[in-house]
Amino acid sequence: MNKQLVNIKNVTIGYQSKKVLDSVNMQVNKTDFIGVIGPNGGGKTTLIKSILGLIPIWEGSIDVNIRKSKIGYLPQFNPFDKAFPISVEEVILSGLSGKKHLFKRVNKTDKEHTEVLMKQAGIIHLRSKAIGQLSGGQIQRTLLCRALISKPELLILDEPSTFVDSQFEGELFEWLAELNKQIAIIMVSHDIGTISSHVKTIACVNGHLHYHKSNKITAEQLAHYECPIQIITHGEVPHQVLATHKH
Amino acid sequence: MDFFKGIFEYTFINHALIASLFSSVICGILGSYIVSKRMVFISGGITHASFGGIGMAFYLGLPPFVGAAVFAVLSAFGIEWISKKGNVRNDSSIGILWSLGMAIGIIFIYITPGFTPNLMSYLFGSILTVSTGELVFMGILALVIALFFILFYHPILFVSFDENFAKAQKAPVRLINYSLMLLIALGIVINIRVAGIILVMSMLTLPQNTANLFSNNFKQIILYSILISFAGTMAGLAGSFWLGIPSGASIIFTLTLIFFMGKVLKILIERLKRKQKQFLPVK
Repeated sequence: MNKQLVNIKNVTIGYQSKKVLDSVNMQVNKTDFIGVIGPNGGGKTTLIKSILGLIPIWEGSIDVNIRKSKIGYLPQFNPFDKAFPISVEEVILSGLSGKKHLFKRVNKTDKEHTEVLMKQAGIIHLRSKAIGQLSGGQIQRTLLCRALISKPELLILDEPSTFVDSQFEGELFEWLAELNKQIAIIMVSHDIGTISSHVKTIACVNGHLHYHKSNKITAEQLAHYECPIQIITHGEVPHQVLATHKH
Repeated sequence: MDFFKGIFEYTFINHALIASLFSSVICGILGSYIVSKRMVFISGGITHASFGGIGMAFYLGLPPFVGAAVFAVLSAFGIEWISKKGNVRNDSSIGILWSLGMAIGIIFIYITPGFTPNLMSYLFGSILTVSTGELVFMGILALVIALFFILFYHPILFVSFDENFAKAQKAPVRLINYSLMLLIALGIVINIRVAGIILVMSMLTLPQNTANLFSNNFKQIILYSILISFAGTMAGLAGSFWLGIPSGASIIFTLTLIFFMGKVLKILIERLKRKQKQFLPVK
């Protein structure tokens, strides 16, 4: 049976008095790979932050059936201080700062796991470098390792390919496909061309949420939801017309 | 040589030595956190707000240290709370508490009948008059702070590096932040005795920035800061003894001198490295 990890029911969220998401429904099941697309300001990041419990919801409910520390998260921006004295290895280990680890010290197993991840991301030679000395792509790889160190059951990636070079982007999607055999992945991106060939299903967020049980995007669909269509790289757009949505 | 003879002959110099050791541990650890988290002006606000407590304690006839501690802790929590909950800008709330504390202090000292003794020693510090009781408190505080940072090194580092991520992981962010604010407030108040309200900020920033010139590792910055702090305090005390100048100012001056010497040393080291690279054999 496909285990349900997250159930978002009729959720409405906003900031101050402005409504950003309006009665949104979505389920995340084990081994899902959901691509979240939509225009800037459409509420993609808001949706993710609400799943993580970082912002209060106005109406509805979000049931999260796994421990919060079992959600791996790669944030969109890097809001941290680049001059902060912390090494790559320590940043990755900080992915373990869930509740049970306050009195539990970092042990050998954690360090070994960190090493495996650093090798996989190709940043093992940078392990003791300070985070501020890294390039944007290297920081992104480090943060991806941080999201994976807690062995998450759900991985949430907010614009993971920002700053990442095209070579690592390929490796990244291979890595994600491998991970997806075990865990669910939600990936936010406005690069529709890249996203649609790797994800299994697509959620389009623009105030409302439209869910498609397929990774095919049609031009009609995009126009209908006012989603951005500037980056479609598939060559021929498959003409698959879905039933119209009632708003 | 008088200074070194004095070390063994006079209790007040003995006290000053022990006080500077404890103060170096307290400031070395807390300052590394404050500098890394860019909280220098928050600690400035806490320091100056505590003057209100000193003034009030004078008026009520209580020990000034107690008044300062109460005001420091309240303003530290106030700043932490306002910056999270209130709609006031962080730096504005610091500025308001900073001057409000000073104003309260001035009003109460003005209405206190008679002469207020030792007022200058709170403004500029006087490490040579530290009492045994204060020494004991300093020792306990230094121990508590050191233990706190040893036990919770990783959580402290992780929460101060990326608070939002720690929150998403359900790490006890608020507990850690408030505990650290409490330790900072108490650490500042006890160091007012050493360096004074006006100068204590540099004890929390100068050694740490000197250490940061040579290391980007939080643990190393803490250790180097403690060493630099202790060396600087010693040299500053000796200087104040020989030249007959106030100890607080002398210590700060020495710490600044060490910082600039470190800066020059770093520039020289980098030049040398570059030169070595130039002379590497061409393959």
